Amino acid sequence: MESPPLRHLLLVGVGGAVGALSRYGVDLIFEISLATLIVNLFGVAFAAVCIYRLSLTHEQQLFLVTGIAGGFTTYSAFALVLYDLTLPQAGLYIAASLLLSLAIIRVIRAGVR
Amino acid sequence: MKTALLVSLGAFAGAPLRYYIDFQLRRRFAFPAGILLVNVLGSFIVGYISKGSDALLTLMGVGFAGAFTTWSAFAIDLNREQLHPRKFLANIFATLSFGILAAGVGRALAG
Repeated sequence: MESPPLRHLLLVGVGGAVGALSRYGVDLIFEISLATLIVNLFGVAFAAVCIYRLSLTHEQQLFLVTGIAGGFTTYSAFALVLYDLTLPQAGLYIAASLLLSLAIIRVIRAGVR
Repeated sequence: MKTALLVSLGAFAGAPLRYYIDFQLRRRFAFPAGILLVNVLGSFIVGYISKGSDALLTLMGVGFAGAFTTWSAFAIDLNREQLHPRKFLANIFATLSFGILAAGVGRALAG
């Protein structure tokens, strides 16, 4: 089975640690559901800029997109915070996370054309 | 300082593991099965440890599962799937239903 080179795993690991530490910083400032929404939307914007607005090498993408944006944003906290919300709040939270993420990517991509 | 170290350590393991799984599965499926898998597994993990000690939550929850799972790759994949409505809807449905369920099952099993 083909595997990614160790160098690439390390790039993603260091980027992921930087991203996760930054997310932890946001967690210290805002309540967890708001913090998670903020990091996810900001991380989506960061990833979209890296992918669609910059001409990065594969290794730069691995560090910035897979590592930093991937480690900064999170699905696990998103899924868990839903259980602390009422059903209408949870529906709104899911809809806002999805629709705003897709709108952000669309706007960033539109700038290229 | 200690919490920062725990977050970094967990993420230093979680993010490359996500990359490795996505690397292996993306070439085998016409669907981002790797991202779906890490998001479901990671959601189960945070649910399962949600009543654990602060150190465990920091290392495995904020660090490992936080960086193992991802929202950005999910959103970027969805954007790319918009011209394929069935794939787009299947990804949203699978990620939301299995992911949210996994967090709840993990939480319930934690007691």
